[in-house]
Amino acid sequence: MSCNDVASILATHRTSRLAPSERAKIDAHLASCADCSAAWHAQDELLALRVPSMPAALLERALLASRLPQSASTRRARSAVVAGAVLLAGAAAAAVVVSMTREQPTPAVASPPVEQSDTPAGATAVEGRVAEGESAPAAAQGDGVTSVELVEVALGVQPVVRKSPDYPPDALKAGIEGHVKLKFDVTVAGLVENINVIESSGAQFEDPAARALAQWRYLPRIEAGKRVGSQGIQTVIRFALNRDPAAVAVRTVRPDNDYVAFNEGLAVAMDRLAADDLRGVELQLDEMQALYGADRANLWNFYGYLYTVEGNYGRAIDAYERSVAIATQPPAPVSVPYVPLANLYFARHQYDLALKTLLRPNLPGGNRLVTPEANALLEKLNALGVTEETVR
Amino acid sequence: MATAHPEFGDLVAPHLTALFRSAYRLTGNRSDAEDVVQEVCVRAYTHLATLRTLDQPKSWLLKIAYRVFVDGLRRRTRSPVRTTAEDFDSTRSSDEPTPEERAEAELAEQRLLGALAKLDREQRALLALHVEGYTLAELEAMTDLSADVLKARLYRARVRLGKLLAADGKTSTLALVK
Repeated sequence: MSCNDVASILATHRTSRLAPSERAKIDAHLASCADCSAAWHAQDELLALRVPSMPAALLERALLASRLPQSASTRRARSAVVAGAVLLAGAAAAAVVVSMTREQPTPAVASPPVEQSDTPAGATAVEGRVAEGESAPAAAQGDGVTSVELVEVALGVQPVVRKSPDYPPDALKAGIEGHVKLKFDVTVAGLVENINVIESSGAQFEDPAARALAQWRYLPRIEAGKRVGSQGIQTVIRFALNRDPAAVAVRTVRPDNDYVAFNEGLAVAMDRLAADDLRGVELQLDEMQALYGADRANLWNFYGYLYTVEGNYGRAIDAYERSVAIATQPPAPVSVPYVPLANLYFARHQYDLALKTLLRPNLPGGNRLVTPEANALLEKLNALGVTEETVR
Repeated sequence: MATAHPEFGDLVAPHLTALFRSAYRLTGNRSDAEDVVQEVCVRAYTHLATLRTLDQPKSWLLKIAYRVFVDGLRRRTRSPVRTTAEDFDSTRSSDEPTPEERAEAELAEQRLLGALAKLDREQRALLALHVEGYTLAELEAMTDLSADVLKARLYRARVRLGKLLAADGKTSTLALVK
C-alpha cells in the first residue's frame, strides 16, 4: 500500500465500502504516513457535513435573477453620470431608514423593506419621506368635461425603488443619528440626477445618503398625458439607530435577498416603462405578483401608475386603493399613493372621495397631507365648494 | 408560476437541487450558495441555445458553478452591509435552531467550514464536487483537468485539510488545558 494507492481509493469514493483485508492494509499505511492519515481524516469529516435542503423559492429567485444582469448593468451605466455620486455595485434595495443596534458595532444588516408590511414590531424605522413634492400643480381640469375617461390626470413623482444608505461606521459606533435633506431632479426615465445636499445633521451622513439616492427610481411625473422629468424634488433621508436588539435580531437572521430581488424586478419594470413598453411593464408586474404575492404596496402603486398612463382609471383606482390599504398597515406608512388616488377620484368628479382620500388618517405628523401636490388639489376642491365640513 | 422563460425554467429546474447542494459545499453557507445558483442561472440563461442542445445539462451547469466559485463570486445581489462571518452564524444557529445533542456535530462542522475556508478556491471546489459524489470523469468535464491531475490535487487538498483540522484540534485542546 502506497500513498498513491490511498489517493486512488479516496478518488473513487470507495472509502466506506472496503473489504476487511484492504481496510487492514490501509490502516497499517495510515499509521505510518502523516499525509495519508490527514487526508483520510479529512475525507471522513467532509462526508459528515450535512447539506441543508434547498430553499423553496430558489427557482423563482434564480429565474428572476437570470433576467436581471442586462437591466442592472444598464442602470449602473446610466447612473454613472449622476453628479458626484460614487455608486455601489449593490443592487437597488428599498429602504429609507437604516436601523442598527448600538450593540452591533459591525454594520450588520437591517434595512427594513419599505413596502413590506411584516417588519417586526418594535422597530424604530421611521418614514423617510417627510417633505417630498414638486412645485408643479397636480390634478385635472375637471370642469366642463363630460367623458370621464378622457380627463387628463396629472401625477407627481413617486419613489418606487429605494436603496438604503450605508450607515457611516463612526456614527454607528458613537450611536449618532442623523438626517440629510436632498434636492434632485428625476428624469423622464425615473432616474435621479443632480443631487444636492440642502441641509444635514452632519457631514458624514451626506455622502452615504447621496449615494443611496442616486440608485433610487421614481415613477416619473405625468403631465398632459405624457411622462416628463421633474426638477427640484426634495427628500429627507434619516439615519436612525434601532435600540431594540430583539427587533434587529429578527432581521439579522435572514439576509433579505428577497426585497433586493423585488426591487430589481421593479427596476426592470421601470426600464420597460422608459422604453414605452407598457405591455412589458404589465407582464413584469404580473410576474412579480406571482412571485411575491399580492401584498406589496409598491407593486400596486406601480399598477396604479400604469393604468393611469393607459387611461384605465377604474383599474387605476382599484390598484391605488390596494396599495394604500397595504401601505398604511403598521409599522409605518410609506410611499402611500394618496395623491394619485385623490387625483383619479377628482378626475372622475368624485370630489368627496378625492377629499376623503387626502384626509385619510394614519399619516405621519397629523392626518393631512402637506405636499405641494396635495395642497394644490385641496385648493381646487375647496374652490369647487368641497371642504372638510361638506364631506363630514 | 408566471415567468417569461418557461423553457429555461424547465431546463434548469431538474438540476436545481444538485446545483444547490454543490453550491453549499463550495461556499459553506446557504446564502452564498443561493448567490452561486443565481449567478449560474444568469450565465446559463445567456447561453440558452447551448443549454437546449446538451445531453448532460447538469454537468454543464456544474461547470459554470465551478467557474463562478473559483473565479470569485460577485456579490451582486448582496446587501453591502453584511459579512461572510455572519453568514455562517445565521445559517448555522438561526435558520435551523439546534438541539443540544447536536452541539458537538455543529462544532465539528464549524471547524470543518473554517478549515475549508483556508484552502484555496480551486482545492475547495474540487473537494466540494468530489465529496458531493461526482466521479473523476465528471470532474474532468467540469474542470478541464485530466484525471491524473485531479487525483493528485484532490489528494493534496485532503492532506492540507486534514492538517488544518488537526492543527485546529490541537489549538482547542491547548486552550482547554490552559
